[in-house]
Amino acid sequence: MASEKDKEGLSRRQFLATSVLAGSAGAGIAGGLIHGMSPAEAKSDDDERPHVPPGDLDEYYGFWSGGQSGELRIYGIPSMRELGRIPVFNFDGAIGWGITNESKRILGENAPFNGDAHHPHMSQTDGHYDGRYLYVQDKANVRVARIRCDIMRTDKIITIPNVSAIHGLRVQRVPKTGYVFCNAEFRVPQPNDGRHLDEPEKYGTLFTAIDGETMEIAWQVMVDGNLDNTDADYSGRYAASCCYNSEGGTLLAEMMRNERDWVVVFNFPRIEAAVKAGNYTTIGDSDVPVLDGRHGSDLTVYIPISKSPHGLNTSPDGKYFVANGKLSPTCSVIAIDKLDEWFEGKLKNPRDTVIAEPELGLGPLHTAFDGRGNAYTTLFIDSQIVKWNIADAVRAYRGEQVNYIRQKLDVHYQPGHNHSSMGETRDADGKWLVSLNKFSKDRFLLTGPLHPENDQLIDISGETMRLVHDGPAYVEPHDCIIVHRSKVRPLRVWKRDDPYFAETVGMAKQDGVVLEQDNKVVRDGKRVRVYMTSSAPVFGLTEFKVKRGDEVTVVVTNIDQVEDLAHGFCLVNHGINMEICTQQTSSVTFIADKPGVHWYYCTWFCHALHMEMRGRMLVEA
Amino acid sequence: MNIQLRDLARSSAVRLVRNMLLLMLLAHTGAAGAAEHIVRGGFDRLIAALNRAASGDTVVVEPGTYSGHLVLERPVQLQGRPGAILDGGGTGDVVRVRAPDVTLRGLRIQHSGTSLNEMNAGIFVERTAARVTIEDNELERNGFGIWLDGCPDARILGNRIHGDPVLRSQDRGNGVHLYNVRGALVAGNEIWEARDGIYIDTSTDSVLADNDIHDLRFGIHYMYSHDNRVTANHTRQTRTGYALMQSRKLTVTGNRSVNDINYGILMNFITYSDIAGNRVLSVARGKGFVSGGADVAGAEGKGIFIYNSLYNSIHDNLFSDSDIGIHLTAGSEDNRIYGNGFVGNRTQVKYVATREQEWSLDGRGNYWSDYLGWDLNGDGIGDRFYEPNDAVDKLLWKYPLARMLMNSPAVQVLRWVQEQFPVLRSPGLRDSFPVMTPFGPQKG
Repeated sequence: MASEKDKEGLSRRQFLATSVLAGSAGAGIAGGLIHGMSPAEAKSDDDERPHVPPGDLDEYYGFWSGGQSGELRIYGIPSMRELGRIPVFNFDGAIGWGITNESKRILGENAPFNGDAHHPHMSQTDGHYDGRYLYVQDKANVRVARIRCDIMRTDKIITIPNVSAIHGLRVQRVPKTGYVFCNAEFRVPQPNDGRHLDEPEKYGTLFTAIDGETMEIAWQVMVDGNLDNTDADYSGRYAASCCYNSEGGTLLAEMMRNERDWVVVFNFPRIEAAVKAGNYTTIGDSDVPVLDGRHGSDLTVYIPISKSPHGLNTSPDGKYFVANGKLSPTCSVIAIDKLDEWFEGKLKNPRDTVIAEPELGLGPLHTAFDGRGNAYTTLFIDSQIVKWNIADAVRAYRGEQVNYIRQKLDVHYQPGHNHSSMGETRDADGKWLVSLNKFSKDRFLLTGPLHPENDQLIDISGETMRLVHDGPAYVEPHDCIIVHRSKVRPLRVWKRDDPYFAETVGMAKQDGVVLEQDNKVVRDGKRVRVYMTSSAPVFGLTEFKVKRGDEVTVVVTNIDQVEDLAHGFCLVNHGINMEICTQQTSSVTFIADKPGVHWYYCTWFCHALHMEMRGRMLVEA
Repeated sequence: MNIQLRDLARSSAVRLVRNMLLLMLLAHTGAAGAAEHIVRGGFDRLIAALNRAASGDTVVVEPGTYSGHLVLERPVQLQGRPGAILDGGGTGDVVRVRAPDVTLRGLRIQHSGTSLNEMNAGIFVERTAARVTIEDNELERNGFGIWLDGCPDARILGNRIHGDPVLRSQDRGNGVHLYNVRGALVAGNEIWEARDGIYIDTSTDSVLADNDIHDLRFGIHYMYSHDNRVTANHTRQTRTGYALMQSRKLTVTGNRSVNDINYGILMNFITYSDIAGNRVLSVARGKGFVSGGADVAGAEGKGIFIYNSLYNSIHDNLFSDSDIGIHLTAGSEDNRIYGNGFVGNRTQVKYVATREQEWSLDGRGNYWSDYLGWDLNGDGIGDRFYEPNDAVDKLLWKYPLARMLMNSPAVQVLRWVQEQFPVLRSPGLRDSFPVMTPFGPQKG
């Protein structure tokens, strides 16, 4: 029976010292052998780890989705240091996301406090990251959010009508974003109002295009089967989505039956023309134009692909869509110029758009690119990244005897998404690859039954992939992007005219309050508005008095001028805490239902006299 | 390698198959009162005869080519005389079985369509066709050979199933495809140059036995199928002999894998299963380029790959002459690993984990061809534990004659260094009771 005990690790330095010892003992052969063996090749050597020394900055931003935590995370790459979190669909008591009036305006009243954020993608202009926005979907509550990259805060959240479970999400690259595309994964009746409950054959789903600047829905396209992952091209004409349930099944076995499911490609010029011509319907009380893109439509083409394909990735040269076979050990490479031929009626069979179908290994899920013609595909079952050459795969498909596989690298364990530095833009630079692994098993100290995920960093700058870092992550990043720091220009302090709190500024104006200098209480019947500044280490008001049952709005404006000098406003026993960063205004509204003395205090350590930065809310009985 | 294997599991599987055949013969005797219709001539005559046949009748097909698409909607036996050919003309399914209790025997069934979209097959068996028997047929150049589409209790016996080598591997169908079935017996078939030999998906309580599968992608390709027996099969020149995935309670015994490429046996998320008496020889070693990427770093051939698989018994197998004998990782713990032979693999063990494991059961470990210990008391068990993949093993693998230098100062220093600094060990794995001869003393 297996008996276990923890193994003690020894460092690379001890290891090397040992080999020196062996060599000096006259066993020259031994030294050579030790160097030649790899007792634990899954481990990296200390001296090869990408080292970003204290005080140095990373070259890249990493934007990570937080999965069922509902948030986004900001990393530095290659150090893999976590730099920040952006609450999106989740509740965040640290900054008051879901508490402040400003966040509630974005979340909506009664918004659910969970989300399932999988795919973060940055807006682009002509196939380059432009640093304006990030977009991410919420599979759990059928929403799409936009994050402003200057303040790294969520500024819009919309609910997608007529569908269930938004999964795949990508942006239009050319001429710019433009559209944000999202896939609804689960089939439901349309409208989903109680009809057709027991008639799954009447369920359906839709591909949705959102205007990424207005965050209004431009149009939806009805499809056969379901929609998994998606990606757009580099010409502004096509997006492609994988379908793993062409059967329309509701049970696992039903969804597994077909040998081939498909990739469906959407033709935007035709879709836009159809919308313009009024060739659409609407569903229920939604006024979003819905077009029919099911089999037979000239707005789409269905390309049969084995077997339950999952990831869909566009090569950065703009030539190919790569569909990842999941239950087939292959990836299917679709030539985008062949799509032109198909839509011009020059091809007989949609499969004629497939120009390569390399056999890569078991469970291919997602593919990333290095800009040098190589692709990197995660193999879920083999638990590997396979590096392969696209041009060689095309030659092999034509019948040449050529080995398109360059290397296979173990990852730990079971990779889902991967992503390369700048890999979803024309600027793919082939330096770093992150493998987002679904299991860490025994890679870290135990943290109770729930283990961290393991996001591993791989150096792909050379001919050979090298695993250089294990990155434990709380539940459960699905995807990430790696963006050169030159593309992202966040503010150091807030601007006073920021639209994020403009509505609060407007309210103050109506009350005749100048937020940057006034500290006063405005009473409007049972409604009380309390305006105060904060400047380390004092709040502008150290006490205010209200009556039991009043609806109180506290507005705090941080008038410090110094970068990285956040204040917090926490009201004891009221479930209230919020962030007020340099030059920011934040507000919160609550009912003062507890008579007595209630202290409020600053929660961000801001000053040597931070502990003293507090005041009293006096509630008369 | 001169290794005599006890192969009890295999012979018992053969007995099982024979018994099944015997039962079927008895069943046929019972139906002897049914009428027999002899068909010669063309496809129309065959249709006419089938239309005349009552349930339980036998239609005997004389030699000749019958071109068309058959749909069997009545329980009949279709019996081919040598030279009887059903030809689909390259479209659709050649035979589609809808009725229960149909038998197809002794026919050559060829040239179905090759559309994977339509899942064209030589014989497509629909959900309603319970207890189909498909026996001693030759299936040639079809899309799929035989597709079982949710039909219970099928018998697929002794067929020769040849794919279409003109097609790209991924454009071919599987030899036998089991989708959502129960109680199937697939035995004694030969399958080659198809895509996968036997694909078993969401199917339970089935037996795959004594099949000879070669020159194709995956021999037996498993997905999410519980409580099955895989026994006494033989794979060779495949790109994975036995791909066992996401399944529990499998009995995998007495199989052989010879000259397969990526894996002999792959176990991914397999639990509560018995893997015993299998022989895996020469995975990938020296194959050169083949589709699927041998001969690149990270694509070493593995005798057995045990991944995220727990609570299994893996015993009395032979893993020989491969790039890697056994690769165990991803928290594959609480398996019982004993009585196996690891012989002449370039790397005997690749163990990627941070916890230690003991590979023996009740005082009986495994046979390691690179074990250098001794057995002074002659009980068949080495006196010193075995830990795989130390630098000396590497040396011996590269230079077998170095065994004669075992007492040299260099080797002694190296061994001493390893004992002082365990980082040089393959981490965390020990067999405390290595057996001195292959398949050495049984416990007790």
